[in-house]
Amino acid sequence: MSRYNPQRMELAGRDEVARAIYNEVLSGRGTANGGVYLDISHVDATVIEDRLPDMLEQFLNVGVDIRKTPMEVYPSMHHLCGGVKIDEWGKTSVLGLYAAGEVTGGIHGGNRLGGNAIAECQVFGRRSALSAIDFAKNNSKLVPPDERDLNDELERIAGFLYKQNDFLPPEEFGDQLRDVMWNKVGIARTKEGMAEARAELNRMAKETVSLGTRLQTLRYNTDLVNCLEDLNMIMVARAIVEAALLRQDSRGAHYRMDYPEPNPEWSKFNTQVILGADGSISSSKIPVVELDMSTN
Amino acid sequence: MKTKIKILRSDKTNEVNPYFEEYEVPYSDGMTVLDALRYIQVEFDPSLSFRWECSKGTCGTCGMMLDGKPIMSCHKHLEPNETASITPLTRFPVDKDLVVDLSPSLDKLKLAKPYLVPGDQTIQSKAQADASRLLRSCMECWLCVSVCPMVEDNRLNIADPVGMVNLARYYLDVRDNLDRPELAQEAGIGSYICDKCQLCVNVCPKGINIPKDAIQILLEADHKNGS
Repeated sequence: MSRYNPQRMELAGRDEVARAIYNEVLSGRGTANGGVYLDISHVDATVIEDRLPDMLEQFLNVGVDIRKTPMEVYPSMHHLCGGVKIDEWGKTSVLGLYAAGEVTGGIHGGNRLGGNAIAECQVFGRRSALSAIDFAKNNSKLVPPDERDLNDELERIAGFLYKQNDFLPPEEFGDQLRDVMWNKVGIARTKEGMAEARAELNRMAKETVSLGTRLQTLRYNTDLVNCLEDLNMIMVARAIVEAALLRQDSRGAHYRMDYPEPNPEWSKFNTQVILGADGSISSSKIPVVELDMSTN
Repeated sequence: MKTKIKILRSDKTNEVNPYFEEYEVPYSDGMTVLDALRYIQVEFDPSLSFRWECSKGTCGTCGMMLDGKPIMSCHKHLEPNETASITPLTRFPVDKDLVVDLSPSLDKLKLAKPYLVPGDQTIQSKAQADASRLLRSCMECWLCVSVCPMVEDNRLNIADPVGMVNLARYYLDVRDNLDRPELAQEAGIGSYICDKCQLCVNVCPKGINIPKDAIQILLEADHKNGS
């Protein structure tokens, strides 16, 4: 890290450290397995046992004692910043639907502080629950869902079964999707790479009608679960690319090689994506809500 | 290199009686039972059913038997050129293949009220929290239940090992406002009989010594109450 942030070293922001690791490996200075070494053996063993018991156990299970030897690490997809738009009480843009946790956006900004994922779940989990209770109390007249909507949904799910002709295996589709996102909308983004990703994702979104299952059951059908997840993943992936293309600066985990610095103009805006029921997708800048902290 | 794995298949709903099916999978250094199961499901047989989630030993979902011993499939490494025999977790009714019905244990666990019932003290110091720390690492993987000889005797008024861990865990939590020994008595799980066979001690992936860390605590609590 002395090459990247000599003052803060390994305690630089997560995004910086991730990019540094990525860059070191890309520049040919990585380990044989394509990672870098993380060494905490200088820390007292009892501190490691007390503060990092799960990590200690995980590495011991593969024969690495982190109290004595370094670990090999490489960045991965750990947490998704950004997601469903909510207000401070978990209310979404769909009436009666509340959301909390990693699925939502707007809590962490460009970089999530370690430990705040749990805090987020607890705080917004509770808030959204209270909201939902309130909604239920004040909307006691329940209307059953339309039979046609129900049947449409059941047909949509069952539609993956009984594909007569050649169908797309959902596991492969998911792997392809992951490759596109990691390679082109990953740690270091470019306009060209993301534009390619957008085109590929649009193509893959149309291909989802060809997804199918090897088993024709609704029970214990992993292929079916993967099909449904593929649909959801494509939707999220397309939203991510739209937002990343729109935002022409770098900020925290969103790093663009064509706009490598944070732009003060962009600090006043968030990016918002609207997914249409017809599969259309549009994005816009929305102003950050300015809080008057003096009155709080 | 290859390795063989034979799996006990069955399907309760479709009335398919248990039978062994053998597969040969490519072997790579460090591969786990879970790696093999997933390979089989993707490459050979989509009808093979098994549970898994985190794939790194922290969630307790993937318990099953390897050569008659309970393991977490994500943590157990396979050897090359051997035949591993994989069967569902014992002492649980089998739903399909390696998926067992956990409801007998879950229903029993509910009796222990496995959640905090808060009182006036809502914050605890680290020293206070450390009292229940090891018990809190229980991930309900059910490996202890699968080996416990006491579990099948319904005449005994006992919680199964996971229930004992939970009772002790909340008993030791200063924030908990429920009289746990009393709750256990009322719920019919107030006897802390243990065969002292140490089978659970050998299998707990988190290193919890249930007789020493949980049952002993509960017996002492009972003793305090003068029962």
